[in-house]
Amino acid sequence: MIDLIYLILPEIVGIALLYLKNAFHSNLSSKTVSYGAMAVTLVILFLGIIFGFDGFNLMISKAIDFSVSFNLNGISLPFLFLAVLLPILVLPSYKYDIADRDLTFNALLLVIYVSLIAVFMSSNLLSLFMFMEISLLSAFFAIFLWGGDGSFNSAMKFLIFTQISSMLILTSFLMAFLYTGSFSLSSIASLLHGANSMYLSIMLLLIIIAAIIKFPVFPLHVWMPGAYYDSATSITAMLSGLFSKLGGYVLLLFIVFLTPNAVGYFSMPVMVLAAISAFYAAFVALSKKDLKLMFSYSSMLYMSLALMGMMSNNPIGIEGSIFLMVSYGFISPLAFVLTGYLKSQAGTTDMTKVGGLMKKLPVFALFFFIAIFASIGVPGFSNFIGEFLVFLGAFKFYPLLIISIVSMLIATGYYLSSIKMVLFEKFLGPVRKLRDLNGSELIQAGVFSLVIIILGILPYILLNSINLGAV
Amino acid sequence: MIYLILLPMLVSMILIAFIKDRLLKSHWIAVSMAFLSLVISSVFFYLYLSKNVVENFNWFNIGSYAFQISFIANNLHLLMAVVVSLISLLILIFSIFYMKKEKQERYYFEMSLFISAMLGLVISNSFILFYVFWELMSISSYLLISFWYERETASNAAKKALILTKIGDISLLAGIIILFANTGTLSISATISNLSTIPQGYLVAAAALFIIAALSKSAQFPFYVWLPDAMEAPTTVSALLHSATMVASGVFLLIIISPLIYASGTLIYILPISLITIFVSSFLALDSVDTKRILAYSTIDSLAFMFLAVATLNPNGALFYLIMHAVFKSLLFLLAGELLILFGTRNIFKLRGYGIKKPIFYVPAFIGLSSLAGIPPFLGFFAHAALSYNFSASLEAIFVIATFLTSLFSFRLFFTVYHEDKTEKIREDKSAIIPIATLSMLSVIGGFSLFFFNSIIPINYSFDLFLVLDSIIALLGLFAAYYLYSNRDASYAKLDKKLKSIFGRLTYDGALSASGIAVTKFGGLVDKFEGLLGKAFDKISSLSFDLSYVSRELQSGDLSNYVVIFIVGVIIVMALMLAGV
Repeated sequence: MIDLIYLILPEIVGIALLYLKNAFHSNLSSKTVSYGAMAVTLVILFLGIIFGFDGFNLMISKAIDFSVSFNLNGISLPFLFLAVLLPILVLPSYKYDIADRDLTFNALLLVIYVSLIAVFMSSNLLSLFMFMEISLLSAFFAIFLWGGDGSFNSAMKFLIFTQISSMLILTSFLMAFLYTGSFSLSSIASLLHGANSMYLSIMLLLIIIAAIIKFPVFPLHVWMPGAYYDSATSITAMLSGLFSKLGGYVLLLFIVFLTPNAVGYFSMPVMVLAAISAFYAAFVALSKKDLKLMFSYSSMLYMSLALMGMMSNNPIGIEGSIFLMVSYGFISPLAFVLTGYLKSQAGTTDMTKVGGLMKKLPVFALFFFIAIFASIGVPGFSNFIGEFLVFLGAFKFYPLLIISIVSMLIATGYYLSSIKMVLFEKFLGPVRKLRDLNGSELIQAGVFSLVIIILGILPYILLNSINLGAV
Repeated sequence: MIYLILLPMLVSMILIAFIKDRLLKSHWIAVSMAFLSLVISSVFFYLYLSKNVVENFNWFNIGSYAFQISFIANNLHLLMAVVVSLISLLILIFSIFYMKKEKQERYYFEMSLFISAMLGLVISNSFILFYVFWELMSISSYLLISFWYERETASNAAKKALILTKIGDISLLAGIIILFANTGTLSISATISNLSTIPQGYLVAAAALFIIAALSKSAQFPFYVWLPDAMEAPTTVSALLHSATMVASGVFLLIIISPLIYASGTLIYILPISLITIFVSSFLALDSVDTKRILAYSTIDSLAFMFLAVATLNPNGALFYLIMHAVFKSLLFLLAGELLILFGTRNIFKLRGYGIKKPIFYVPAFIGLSSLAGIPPFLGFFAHAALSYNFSASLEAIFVIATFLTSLFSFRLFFTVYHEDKTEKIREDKSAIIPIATLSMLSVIGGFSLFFFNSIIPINYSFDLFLVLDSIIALLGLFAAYYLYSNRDASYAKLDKKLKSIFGRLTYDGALSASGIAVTKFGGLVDKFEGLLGKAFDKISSLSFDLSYVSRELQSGDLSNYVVIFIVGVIIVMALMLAGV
């Protein structure tokens, strides 16, 4: 058995090393430290999956039941897998857009890494909240320190919205504490059933609003285009791949474990909102000629579908939404990583200014095809399973199904347009030699695709790790 | 074991992807693997003759729901597998000649994917697996249509094809979801045998969605516009797409779920749609001057015949026509491809100018076009016998007109192109002759298989007065075409112009691009709203506090210090936690 604490120790050691290195002006490369720490974590995760995980509990304050305690619940493993693997896969992209402040960046990277991992395995709501705050604050710095023009305002908007969302989450957590006297996930789950439905509904509503902000879902998505567009593309990959899952994870905790009886009240209205959001995101993405913005709104489209699945309040929809979140958590970063690569080669992410890349960059084109086909739900890629299950779960609400199906059709339209503009026809970009993916980028895109394909062909790997009955 | 049929083409894909012409030419990989799948499917056809074997595999479970993939082996499915692999093999052999100068690996990789998708589709007995292959076929045809992606026409045609077929794909998925939510099983055979448990409303919805899926895949009204544009693909791709794969899968879907359609009562909608399709496609074929485009419209026409058979409770008649059609249509496309390679044009009047009335060209063309027209004793005649078994008297009357039109446009092509002989000797490639000769032979003698087809799949046919009339009308079409088109003169050109002005609108390109523009415009409106929404929130936030003030504060101070402080803070907190304070 592997103690869960081992998943965060390497990063903490890494952060300490980085601090010491700075203090003593050592020659140690900060990249080595952070990459090493992440690699060790990955190994520990796999060891843990093979030998099983052991809980960890450290009481900090008995009075407010604040403990740092790690314990896997029935839905955390898929997210943990994403949180451990994705940041490692994004690593090769940083060299394109993270030019300065090497030490700061690597330290921040480790902080983000450790806090996200800790969120998904925390079994104490207060410690979950604390780690979530650390991660979001670090994301704020990551957005504006390495972003483009206007990244400060975007980062600020991101911070304001996520802080509002966090306050809602905290309020809901406190309501749980007031009723049960505990922050522990398992004891809340068993004690909260007695609360009156009004109380539970308010708790759930707060979380739903918070999740709508964090996903993001219309109409509280206004922070998204700025934060996604102005960040360095590799940071955008992290934002859309991982940070957008935080709200969904917390909401799932409430839907599945804490307030399952209150979900019925919100099922219909929230699903309607999700369908509208998917529809809206699809049409906005259709009008975007910038690849980065198009992928940003696509990410919103799929997160809306995920919200729809989990609010359908049946196992197929819920597991489908988890699958969709994890699956798109790999697909959308792949799309952003490729966008970043395009920017580094062609100097632009404007689709109308490139073209014919299939001839110029055949390997890039292959992975671009994979990212697009995976997104539109081609079987064999992971999103197909997620979309199928979400639609199946939402079957009872079939008018919504029609709206989301239209959205998917629009998505197919703009994705195919992007292939046409970026890969097909004649090359329009600057006359200079373009370098195709090779070395670390090739491995990166290859592993991304491999994960997407493996999850698409053997979905039970992920689905079997979900147990909706285990807190 | 049934999935073994699928395996060779998958292996071919993997081999082509990884060895990339370094060790082995990719066309040899594809051809040998296609041969292997022909062998395997023939052996299985023999082994499983008159049996009905289903093999289930659990894909994944959610709660009590099992998502199974399953394969089926019986006469119907394995016969289709044999036909698909045979036609694919012949077309791949032809490709050696046709694609000599092109990028080989990509072509053979995508062809292998295309063929394996169709093979998988015909042997799957689980809706989800059926959908998987159905969609893979859309994607691979998209990739193949955009093979010459640098041409704008090709990239547009590919996009058009995928979007229009995607409407069908999504309908199919929705239909599957409706059935699964009601029956709890994904098995096609189990669903078909438990139709009575499904409420009528859901039954109608599912059947209607399946029909839409089939219409879009088989390029029937109103979806037919994607197929002629798909001509931008290499001709070998068209040959495959028009005969044994892609468009055939729509009809095949209707054939295997025909009990569902009959139980739901939705079949009354198929008949008018097929009739519209038949006339529209015939007129458009009469109007085209491009060999491949004429053949494309003829495919739409022939598929509408099959839909007619399904609509008249005769799915096995449709199946027989489907198989016969696969043979003569692939023959015709290969001929068109041969002419395109040798003379560099698809325009029938330019081809006429080359003077290519040589037996080696016109004999197979005559065989193929006579089959298409339904002239005895070629394939089409027998296919008509099976097809029209359940036709009512009024439908027979309409069908005779359709036969006349089909025959007219077929022989318009023939008499226009093969007009005189003035070319020198043309050296032909062996890999081009073998498939054409094989398919021609099959088109001459294959029709007689109708007489023992009954021992494989129950089928009704009758050689009655109607059929005699039908073949006389077909011959009449031949003579009319000879009279009208053999000696091209001014009146023909005038007629042609007149036709163009009338039928040109039937492709409704204008309406399609208008709806595309409307969707884009709506998207623009939503986008504008999105911009306003963003601005409104900016206003609110700038009212509540001045962003630029904070910005100045932070940027004037030493930022990295701030971050270091933050990180150190985190470390201290963590250290405290670990220490258990």
